[in-house]
Amino acid sequence: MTDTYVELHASSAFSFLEGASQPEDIIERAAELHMPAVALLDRNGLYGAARFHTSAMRAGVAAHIGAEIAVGDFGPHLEPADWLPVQRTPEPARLPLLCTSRIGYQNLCQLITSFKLREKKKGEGAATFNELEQYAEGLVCLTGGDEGPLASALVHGGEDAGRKLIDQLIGIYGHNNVYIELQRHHEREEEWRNQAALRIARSFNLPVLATNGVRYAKAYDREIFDVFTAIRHHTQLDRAGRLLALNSQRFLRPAQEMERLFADIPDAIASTRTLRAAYISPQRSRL
Amino acid sequence: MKPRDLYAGIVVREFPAQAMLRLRPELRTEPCVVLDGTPPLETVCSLNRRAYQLGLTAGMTRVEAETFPATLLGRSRSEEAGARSALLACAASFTPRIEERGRGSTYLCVLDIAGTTQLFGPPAKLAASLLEQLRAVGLTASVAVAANFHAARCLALARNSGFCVIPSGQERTALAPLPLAVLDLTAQQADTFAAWGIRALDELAALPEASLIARMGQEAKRLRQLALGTASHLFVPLEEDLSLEEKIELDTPVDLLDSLLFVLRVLLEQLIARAANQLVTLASVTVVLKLEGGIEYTRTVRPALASNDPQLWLKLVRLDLAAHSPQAAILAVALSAETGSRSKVQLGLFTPQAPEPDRLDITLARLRSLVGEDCVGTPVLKDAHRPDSFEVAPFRVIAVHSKSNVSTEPQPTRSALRILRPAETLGITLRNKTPEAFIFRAARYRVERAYGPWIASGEWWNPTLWAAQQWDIIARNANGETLYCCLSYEPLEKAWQMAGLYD
Repeated sequence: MTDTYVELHASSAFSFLEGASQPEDIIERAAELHMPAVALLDRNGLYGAARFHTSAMRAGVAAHIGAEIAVGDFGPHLEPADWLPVQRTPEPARLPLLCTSRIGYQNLCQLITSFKLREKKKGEGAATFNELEQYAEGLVCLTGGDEGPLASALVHGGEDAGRKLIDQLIGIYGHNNVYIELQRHHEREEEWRNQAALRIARSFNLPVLATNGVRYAKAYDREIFDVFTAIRHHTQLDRAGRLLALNSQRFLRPAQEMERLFADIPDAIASTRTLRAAYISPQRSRL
Repeated sequence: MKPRDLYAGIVVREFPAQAMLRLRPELRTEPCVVLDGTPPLETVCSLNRRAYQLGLTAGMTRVEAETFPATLLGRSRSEEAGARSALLACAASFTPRIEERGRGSTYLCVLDIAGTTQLFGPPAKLAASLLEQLRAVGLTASVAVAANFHAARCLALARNSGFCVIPSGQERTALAPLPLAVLDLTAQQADTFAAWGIRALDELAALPEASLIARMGQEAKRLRQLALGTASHLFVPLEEDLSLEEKIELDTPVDLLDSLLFVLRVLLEQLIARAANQLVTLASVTVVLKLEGGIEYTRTVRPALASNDPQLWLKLVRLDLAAHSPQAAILAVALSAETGSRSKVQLGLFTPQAPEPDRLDITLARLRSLVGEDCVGTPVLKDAHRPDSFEVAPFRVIAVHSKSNVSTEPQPTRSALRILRPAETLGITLRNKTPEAFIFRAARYRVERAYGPWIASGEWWNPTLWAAQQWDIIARNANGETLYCCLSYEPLEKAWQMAGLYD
């Protein structure tokens, strides 16, 4: 086992059409990479948790559970610039939440249930700030990648908006339970946001956390991911344009590769170990 | 208050002949007849005044007609449809309520013009304007205005040309001298009246109603009301979208574009006259050429600005057809047009003189014929990740907003990247897959900072799949000059290039 890096933000095919690999495939790949643990954060649900947990037990990998929760009060998630031709429909930003205890798991389940009960159409529900506050105990909050609220705040309102958002999250989850998430998919705009996020983390004295925002187990699964994206937007691959992924970097990376990628920010890699050790130890994650 | 009933009857005599001659102005002064039927059993169905004067009559066979020095034309339903469409467009510019009444080779329609006095003046002025517009589209008609639908129809049928306006209440007097033929009698009714010696409408009107009904039935009562000018009518307006279309079938196949231009000019003038009647401007014209072998060849000309200038349209169509000439002889031509709003140019005393919009279109058309259709226009970004993916959209004049709309807030300074097109190939040295040094424009640069690689790839499902990597570089040469640049690497071709320079 290489216990240097743990992937704490992966989505499976249970994030309907926003993930291209089955939970078992993610676990199988994690076992191949000798990764001691992986966290599954599917969109607005825990549908894949059981299969993820069962296959993880079988493979000897610790399974951590969480979810990306759509929050209407954060506004829409990251959109391409106004001057670019796009065909995206606005969706609320999603906040990645990790369970650190049984209470956290119960709260996450109740949070999802509460906003799903309000859904008029399937997949359109979103939580509110009040609900986040009500069900905050036992949860660790990450700031997310492209789909997260920090990326959206930085692009629309700059670092001031980013600081305001982090202040809100600290108010809800507490200073010790907010992690500034950094993802590196070899994209210019993403790196610009990462540098801004680093400055915000420093100003709040918050830990930074490296993840790869995994959407598929292996690089070539990007093709399935693109097909899913086209289906999700009711279009064809030839017409999907910027809806499709820019590259195939959102796969489960080996620890060495992640260490090389974050060589200039070693704390971001170290945080994955400390977060796992301090909050979501294997004993506590058995839910 | 409901306006007083008022109708205008329009009659176009010898409609098949007029439809053919409106697109052949050079034949209007010649005796011409239109033949209908299956060869060799064709008969004259319509003819112009000159042909009448020569002694030709409707119903003559082709052999009989050929003994006269007259031009023989085959009947064209498509050209008649075009003429009908042009006539209805003229009528529609006065009223939307039009009822058609077919009558052999004579075209007849009646317009409901009640309440139009405020818009078009008194009925006499409206009738004169209507005739003027019909003349502009190449049709000679007669118009009669009356308060009774059937009176207007009968009076228009009785006139050869010009117009008449019958004051309300005087329909009977106006109808009195007209022959019974204007009433669409059945053969039996015509025979009965002939036997009684009734030839004019006043004689029919004078017959006692009860005795007439006793002898000829209820239909005779209606005929008497028609003669009196009191018959009622339920108006059934035409429900048809007016389209701008003109068609002509050429007498002989045409190979040369210059010969075709004479026909195109007439068709364009007709289209523009009709568009002007409807107070609209032509935004695009589609030319459909029917070629030998049954092929249809279609070209669409769409200038940047809508216009009603026939010279401009002719030039644009000529340039387009010269650049994309058809590959076979032309048998028929059809033009259809889409309308748009007329361009508005606000001039100012102190604004610099700009080129005329029409000239812009001609220049664009000339450029298109020189460099190709897809190489002239406005570059537009495509919705794709592939670097440099753009397409050329047709040029459009964008409305200039006033200065008040421009934000006066200071904009953040941004670095500009000057893309090199084509990208320049580099000799490069790598260390750990990262650029270390390179030679650019005969100077060796040592990399001080390298950011990247920025990776992109796409279209994996197509043969056009692509992949690209870029590095943002700060480099310095032996003279101490610093270069801020963007290097690109194409993994599929394994080639390093200088993609652009940062200011």
